Amino acid sequence: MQIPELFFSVLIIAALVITCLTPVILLALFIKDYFSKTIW
Amino acid sequence: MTEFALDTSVGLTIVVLFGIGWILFGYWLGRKNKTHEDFALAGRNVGFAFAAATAMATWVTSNTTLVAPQLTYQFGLWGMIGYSFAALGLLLFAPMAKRIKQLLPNGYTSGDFVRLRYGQVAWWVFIIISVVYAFGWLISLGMAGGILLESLSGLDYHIGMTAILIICVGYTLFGGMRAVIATDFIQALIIIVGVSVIAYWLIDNVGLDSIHQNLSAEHPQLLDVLFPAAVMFLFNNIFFGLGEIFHSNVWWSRALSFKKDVAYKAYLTGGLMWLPIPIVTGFIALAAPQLGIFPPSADMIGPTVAAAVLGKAGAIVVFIVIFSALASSLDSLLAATSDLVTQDLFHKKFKPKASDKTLMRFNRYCILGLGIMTWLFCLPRIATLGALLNFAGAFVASTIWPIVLGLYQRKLSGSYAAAAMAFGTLSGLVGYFAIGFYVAALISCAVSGVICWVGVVNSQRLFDWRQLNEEN
Repeated sequence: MQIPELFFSVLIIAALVITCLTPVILLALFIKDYFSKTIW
Repeated sequence: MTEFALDTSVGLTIVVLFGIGWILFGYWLGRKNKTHEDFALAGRNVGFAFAAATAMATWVTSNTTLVAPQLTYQFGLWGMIGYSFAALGLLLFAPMAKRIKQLLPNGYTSGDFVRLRYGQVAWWVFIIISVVYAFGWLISLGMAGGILLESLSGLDYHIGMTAILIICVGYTLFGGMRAVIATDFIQALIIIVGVSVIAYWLIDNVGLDSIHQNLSAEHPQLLDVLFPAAVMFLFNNIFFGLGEIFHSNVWWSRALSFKKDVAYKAYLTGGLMWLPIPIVTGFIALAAPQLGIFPPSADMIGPTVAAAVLGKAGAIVVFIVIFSALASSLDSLLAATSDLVTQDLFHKKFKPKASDKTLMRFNRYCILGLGIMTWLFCLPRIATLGALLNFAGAFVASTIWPIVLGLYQRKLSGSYAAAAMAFGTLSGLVGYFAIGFYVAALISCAVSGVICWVGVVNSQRLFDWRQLNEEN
């Protein structure tokens, strides 16, 4: 049984969107740690 | 396009520039290391941003960027979904990391835990498994470095492999855990941005519908949701991932180096951020048949597709992404394994009264020694990355139950834990050779689990958790 095209597309696009959000989250966390002096 | 996507001189220039940059950065960070605890565990004071990034970046290895596309190319959809399930290892380790910080406030390594919880026999079995796994992973990473440079720029495999080892050993030697974690943060950003750019380009220029249609017509098994070997691979990969993370000092030393209350949320966040990455890198491989790309070696499918569709710029992006992925894991493994040797063997077995300065110096020698040994093992290109990786699955999956039960269940004794790890590993190896790589971790975990269950049922004694709080 093959995966339908719609499900295939949703899977790939959802994965890509979450991946693209990751650097934003990491940078936001870094800025927060930097100003609260809790990086190390 | 020429035979190689990049000129050899461009590849070398990138390696040299990155190498100098990382080593100087490592040296700069290393100035803050005053004690062995600073060097090995970054002063046990790593904040949330670096902690989450290092959890994610360390798990993004050559295996995610090279093997996830390779397995997708071989197993289709389940290859990438199965690979992404390895995120479960990070997610499930989150509560364990919190407990590790509570039970071993002065601990250094996973070996410390096994020794204190289960005694000497189990410790020896555990150390053998850890060393086999650490070398398997180190060699797979070193080989991947050589393969990457060779396939993208035509640079000789041995020169490329040597270069990446020198760079990683260099900055880990100077900066210790602080350098490992700080470089992981930057490498995580590079990896994610690079992978996203390549995947977006494929969607925009080749099209998801077009890729799906081509696969349906020409390679329908790659879209099959009932591909038996692939479904088996999915479950095998889950247990492999759990075994890798639960036992390896790479993850224990991180848990111990994070600030109090950071360990749980860092591993949870790192796991969630990692989850979609194998799907994105695997998707790149699914575009290969439509683009008429059939690489000679399956583990180069991802880089070959990216380099082919994006040309020279794409080849540079791929080069930097995989270089970062390799470095982020290699440095972690060098640091964690040298900590294990320094703390568990040198300090606890041979020099219990060694000074802090001696431990720090020995730790640095270990990093150097590990780098040299890895280089020697990498000289012959002995296996594809996937084969090497899955061989280690038989070893690490046997540790899942002893580690989990050791942290939460007071009944399991050392003799049963040792037997579970030893017989689990042997059974997994039998499965690996008799059936296939995709059952090694499954069998190993199942046999180990049965022995642990018998051990818990038969146990008459309860372990006292306070014994884990050892003063160094």
